[in-house]
Amino acid sequence: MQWLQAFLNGLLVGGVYALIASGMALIFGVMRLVNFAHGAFLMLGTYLSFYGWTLLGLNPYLAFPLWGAVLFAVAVGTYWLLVRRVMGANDFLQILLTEGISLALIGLAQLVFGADYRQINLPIANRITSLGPLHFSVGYILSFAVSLALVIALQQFLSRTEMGRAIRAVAQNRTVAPLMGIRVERVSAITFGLGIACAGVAGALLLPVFWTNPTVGGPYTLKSFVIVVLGGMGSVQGAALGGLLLGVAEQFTAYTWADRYAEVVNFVIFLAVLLFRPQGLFGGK
Amino acid sequence: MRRLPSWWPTVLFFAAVTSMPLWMHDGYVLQLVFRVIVFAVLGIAWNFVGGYAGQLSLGHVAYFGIGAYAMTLSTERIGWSPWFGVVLGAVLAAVMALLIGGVTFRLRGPYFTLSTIAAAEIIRVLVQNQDELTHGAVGTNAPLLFQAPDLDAKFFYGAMPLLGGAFALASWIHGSRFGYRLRAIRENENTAMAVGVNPAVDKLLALLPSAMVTALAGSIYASYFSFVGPDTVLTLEISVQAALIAMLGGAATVWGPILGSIVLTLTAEIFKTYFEHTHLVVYGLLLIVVVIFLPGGVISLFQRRWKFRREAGPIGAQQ
Amino acid sequence: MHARRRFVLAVAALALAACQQSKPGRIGIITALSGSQQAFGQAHDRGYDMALEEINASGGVLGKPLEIVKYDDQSKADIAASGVSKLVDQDKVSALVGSYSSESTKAIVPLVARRGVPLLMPTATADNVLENTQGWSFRLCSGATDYSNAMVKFWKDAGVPKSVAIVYENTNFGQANGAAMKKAATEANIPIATEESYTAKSPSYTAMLQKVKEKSPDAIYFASYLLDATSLMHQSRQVDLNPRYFTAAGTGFSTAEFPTEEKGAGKDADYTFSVTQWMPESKWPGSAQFAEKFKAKYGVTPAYHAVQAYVALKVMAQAVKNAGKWDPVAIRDALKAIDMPDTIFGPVKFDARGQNLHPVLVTQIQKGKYVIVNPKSEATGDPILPTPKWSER
Repeated sequence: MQWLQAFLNGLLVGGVYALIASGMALIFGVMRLVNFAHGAFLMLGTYLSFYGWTLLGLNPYLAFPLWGAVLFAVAVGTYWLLVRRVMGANDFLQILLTEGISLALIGLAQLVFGADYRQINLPIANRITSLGPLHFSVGYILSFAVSLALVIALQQFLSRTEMGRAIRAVAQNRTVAPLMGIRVERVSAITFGLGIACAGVAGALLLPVFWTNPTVGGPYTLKSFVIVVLGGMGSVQGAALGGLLLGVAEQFTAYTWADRYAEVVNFVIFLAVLLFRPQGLFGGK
Repeated sequence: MRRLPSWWPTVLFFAAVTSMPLWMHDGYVLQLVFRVIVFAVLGIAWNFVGGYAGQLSLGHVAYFGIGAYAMTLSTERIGWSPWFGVVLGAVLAAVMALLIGGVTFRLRGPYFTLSTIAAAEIIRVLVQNQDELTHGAVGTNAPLLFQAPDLDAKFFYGAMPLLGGAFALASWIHGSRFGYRLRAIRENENTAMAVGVNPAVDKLLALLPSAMVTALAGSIYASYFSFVGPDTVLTLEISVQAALIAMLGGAATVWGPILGSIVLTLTAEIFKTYFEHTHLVVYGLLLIVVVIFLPGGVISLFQRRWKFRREAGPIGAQQ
Repeated sequence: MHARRRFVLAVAALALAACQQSKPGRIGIITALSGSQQAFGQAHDRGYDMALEEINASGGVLGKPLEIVKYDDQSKADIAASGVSKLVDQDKVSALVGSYSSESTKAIVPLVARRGVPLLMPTATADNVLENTQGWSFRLCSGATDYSNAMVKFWKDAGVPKSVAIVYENTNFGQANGAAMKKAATEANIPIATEESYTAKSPSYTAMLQKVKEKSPDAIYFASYLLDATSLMHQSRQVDLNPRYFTAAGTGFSTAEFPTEEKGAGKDADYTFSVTQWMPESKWPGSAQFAEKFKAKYGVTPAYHAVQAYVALKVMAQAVKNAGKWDPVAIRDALKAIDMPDTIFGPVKFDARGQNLHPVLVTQIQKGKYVIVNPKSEATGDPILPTPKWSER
């Protein structure tokens, strides 16, 4: 029974992971960009959510589209100013640039917000509901539900809209896409915006059940990579499922071994997948 | 194509720096320069793998930490002199390099980078959690490699040979056939294989000295500051610093990491003294600026001035 | 490259020259003004500032206003170590106070001994910080072992638990206190139901708390900061974990924010016991006034870190006065001999190891307020036991 509880808790946490990783998968799949700043943008999302609630009384579970939009705009701006200069350049430069952006954002957050931890206490998030012997935090259920809805919405967007198709086309073949009349630069900007918005919204949804400080994003960048690799590079569905899987794996590790080793599980899975099944669980793009 | 300018400036530079304890009596300045030296060594060592071979490792802190911990724990638990511990650290780092390299070098590009981060993090988590063995998160005092008095000067004199040795090794690699093979691997691993280079072997051959020198740097650093802890000698930040120093100064050059260390360490210190709380922003902005405007590193400024034939860029052809 | 180095040397030389000009001596302060421990460093900073103001308002030290020089260790041990160098070699301080974390403090202990400058540690609680002091370092606060011993003594007064589960955060604070309780419980013949260590980055502790619940511990001893303390209590309710005692090693479980709804666990914090070094409600003279003044000035109730900094600077200033001169050796000897029975932190007197024999308080949160329940001489109320089950609250 406790296994079922751990499993379900893992799924709940995994929902948010799925959202974060979908954003990363999108960016990597379409732009072939290794985005080391993903976690930093998630952190921005948590702070937007934090100040939105403490200063304006905006409930994160309702205001998240607003935060997503803000981060979309910030991301597109970052793309135009900085990221597009390393598109097509060496991985080295991309990694260093995005790492630089990450450090600068974290540093700015420390300056502006202070390094102190912050949390909010949303009454609804702290409630517990029970299903027989199983207990769940309402906050996690909400975060899970919204995250999953967004992941599905993202996938629908990619498969049914024209922009979505353009994005997939660029992902499949960046050189040929312009011949189909697709403006690759524009698609890249929008993809980056969407991917970062996913991270930011995930952050906003995470805040009620977690906490934030300027460095909160770091582990999530790594986690996103792990999940994207687990799911299959560039596959957004793969990333979603990978996120759920990772959440469950972490909870199982915490339950059977020790909570402090749950983060090691991330790395071990990562290395194992890369070595033994590099195309991920769900195949290629 | 020898990068090294003629003899004299180099000798002069080393002589001037080595003599510092004789005419600079301010302990704080000496300590600052000591840090510049140790990080320059770190950057040079990283450069073997990152600059010349083009494998962007962000896990080098693993070797740094192994050096620091091996020295500390062997002195504490076995009762050896710390110098044996230093040697042990280098040996263990080499063993770890074979292990980590064996696993991570199978991967390319960003996958490789991520795997090095993962490897270093695994080591950090293990060290942090095996507190019976390693003192865990609390850390412990590291032993002194030299006896008082005049410790600042002695550490200085201890670090200079390390810098000299690393510099010599880098110079040799730079002009040797091995160095050319590494650069070939960096440019295009598949093509390199086609002309008879064995990347798997050469990458490991580059990683071995890289890891060992890094471990030596870790040992001397920990001893100077008298402390080891997972948050001091096993952080991702140190790995990033190693890469940044080499990149900033000029990857795949001999002087690059030295320049990079001077610029980075001094800038960070100045910012810390006059504009508190900004060092991360400084790092970040420096990275961004270098990537966009100076992908060849600071040394490319000097290269243009001295009209040396510029290589295609330390990281490959630029768009 | 050469120009830059010359610039640095020029700055350094000027700084040196400037330092030679000023007498009298100064006290150097190292703390975490930035980085992950910034919040605590800020508490220190405020404590130091308040102490400085009061010291100078009542005539300064040795006839002149006291000057302090602060150094930010950025929450890192190696930077703290370089701070010693800057403060002693460049700024020529005669005594040091600091740092915040056990790591940073441990890093500077051998360095102050090397340089022959006395150090007073306000806050580091790890037991190993007093190793290798060579007589130059002194600690004002109680250590992890004192925490555990105080909790065990409270249990002996209130009812020894049949077993204890030790749950601690995986950082230096947590590990030090987890290990200390393990030792104290073993010595008191209290079986240890389980030991669990967690990382604050975990999104959910329910799996771990479930494991703890399965061992049916009679008491739980947490070593946590505020954030995890909050999550742990909420999730203990979620998992329906009901030991007889929820206890903790201070820090998160003893901050002013912990019983609040907005920043802490709110009602879920009720009935938890914690050790603490100081409370505004404590009976030491001047505690309440200090808390009021601090709150008026900074808007928040002071946590014990602020008090430790405040008292540490005052003690050091007093040591200088007792020594009669700004000579590090004389100041060290004055610290060894010092006897200040009436500080707001209780009596200050260092033993042969340099440890101040500071009494540790045990508190319980009752209806959102802290009540001191042990030792009896300092108590302001009685403990409520056993802890009511979650379903009955």
